[in-house]
Amino acid sequence: MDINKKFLFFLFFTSVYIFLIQIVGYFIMTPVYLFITFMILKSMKLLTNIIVTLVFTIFIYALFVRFLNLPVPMGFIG
Amino acid sequence: MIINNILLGFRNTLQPFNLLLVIVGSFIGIFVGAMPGLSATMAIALLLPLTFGLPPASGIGMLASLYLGAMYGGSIAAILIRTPGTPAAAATVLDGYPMAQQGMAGKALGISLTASLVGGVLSSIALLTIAPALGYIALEFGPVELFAVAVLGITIIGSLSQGSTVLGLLSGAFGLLLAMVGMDPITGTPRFTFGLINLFSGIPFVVALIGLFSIPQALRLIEQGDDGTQVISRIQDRLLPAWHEFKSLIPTILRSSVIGIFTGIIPGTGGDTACWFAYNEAKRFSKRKAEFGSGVPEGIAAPESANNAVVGGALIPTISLGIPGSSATAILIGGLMVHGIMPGPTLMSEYAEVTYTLIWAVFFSNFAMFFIGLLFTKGAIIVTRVKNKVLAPIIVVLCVIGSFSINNSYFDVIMMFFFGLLGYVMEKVKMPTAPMVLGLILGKMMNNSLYQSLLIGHGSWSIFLRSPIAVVLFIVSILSILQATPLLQFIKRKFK
Repeated sequence: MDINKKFLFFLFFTSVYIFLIQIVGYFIMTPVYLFITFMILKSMKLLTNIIVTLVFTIFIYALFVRFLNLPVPMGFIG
Repeated sequence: MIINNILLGFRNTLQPFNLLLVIVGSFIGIFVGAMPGLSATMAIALLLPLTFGLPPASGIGMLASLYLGAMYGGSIAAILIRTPGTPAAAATVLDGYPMAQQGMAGKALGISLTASLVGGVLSSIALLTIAPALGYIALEFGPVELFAVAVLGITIIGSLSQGSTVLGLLSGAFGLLLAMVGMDPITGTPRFTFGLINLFSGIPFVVALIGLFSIPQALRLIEQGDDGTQVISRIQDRLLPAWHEFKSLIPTILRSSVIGIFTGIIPGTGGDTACWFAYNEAKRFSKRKAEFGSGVPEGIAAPESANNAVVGGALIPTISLGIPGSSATAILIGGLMVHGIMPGPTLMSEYAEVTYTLIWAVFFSNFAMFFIGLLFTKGAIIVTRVKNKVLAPIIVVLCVIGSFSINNSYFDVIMMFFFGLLGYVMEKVKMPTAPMVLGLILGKMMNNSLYQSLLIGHGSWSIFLRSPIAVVLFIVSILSILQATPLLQFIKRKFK
């Protein structure tokens, strides 16, 4: 995939991600978004991708929800 | 009273919790600065939500130390991989990278670190002395003078920002327009709300900033791609420069620090301007002009002391007048606004405790940066390898959670993304975003002070000409616009 296609994919998928957060919720959409983006952009190997995606999502959850008590769009799971 | 406040701020900063935050801020700053994909401004915007739960002075103090740390961190990537970690380290590449190539990467980083420390400390001292004095004068300002200050801020930033003056002023005017969105604070009339209830309270400033400074960067990272051919120089020698080496650099560092402080004070110019200014001056004063670019210590010391000196300088107008000296300090103001502290001269009086704690936090963060730099510069090399295509999605994810958490509103997330796309388009047409940010802050201040002034003057606009301070400020504003028009060239030619 050339760089222009990658850019258009990123722009489009980011818009989809932001749109779906309201319905599906941040903590479902974020791992999905990270996993698919990393995969399409070929950022890393599949196993590393899964680990990074999960660790990062859990880190955000721990920091924002548990530690800082900040509001996060939960979607239907909230 | 000022002395009391200074001491109060000093005591506050020395509380273990606040000191810890200063250290954490500097630490994050160095690492973020070292990542070529992340700028200091963006890091401050993204981390702003983390400070909501903290007392304002501690949280904003942490962000200020991050700003300072990132100014040094930027040089790590500049010296080792020939890519400036932040725009303010662009000039460091010229002499830093050649020096690293000659096997003296440690020496180059050491010079950068020491120069950063001296520049930062000097600018903190300037901040500690000039800001209270300026703030004291500003206490005399009524609405008429405040309006004039706001006008001056917009015109200066419009005409001095990088690139075309017309685009700069247009961007500033656009910011003013956006600031008018929402209910008028005096009459309560909704303006430009398009019937959307979410827009009645105006455009949330911090949300706009998160979008403007982060989304365009994420898009640019994808656009650039990764070339994967970067060669990282190793650090083999010791970091701290020897005393005799340092001694020969003192004049350069002092000159560059002064340049940095003044560039910082002027709204609209920040580290990216100061580093080139200082580099060119160092070259002009040097006896070995021809060797610049091949790895001379002065070529590293000059930009690095200047970009750290910018931090203190930029905070001077920010806290004494409420006019941000750079984009990064604009976000600090946004942070204060989230805590209910309005920018303006009251920062130095009503909110003195917060403000002076912030000033001292900046002072101490210089030393935190120095020691963390000594210990962790080698560790920071790892983050210079983080790929663009990994960083970009993570930036997006952080923007979303940050913009949502401010008002617990999904509308803000949409707004953040809208501003992000706007910022990207503006960048494509080479329109600077800094004037727009300033317009957004100053627009509200202009609106209120204009109403109040006209109320005092019983509806007569001549009230603006009765205050000598305001008249002087208006004249300077007119001059700053005129200097960008063909008129100035015309006069210059006449007098040649």
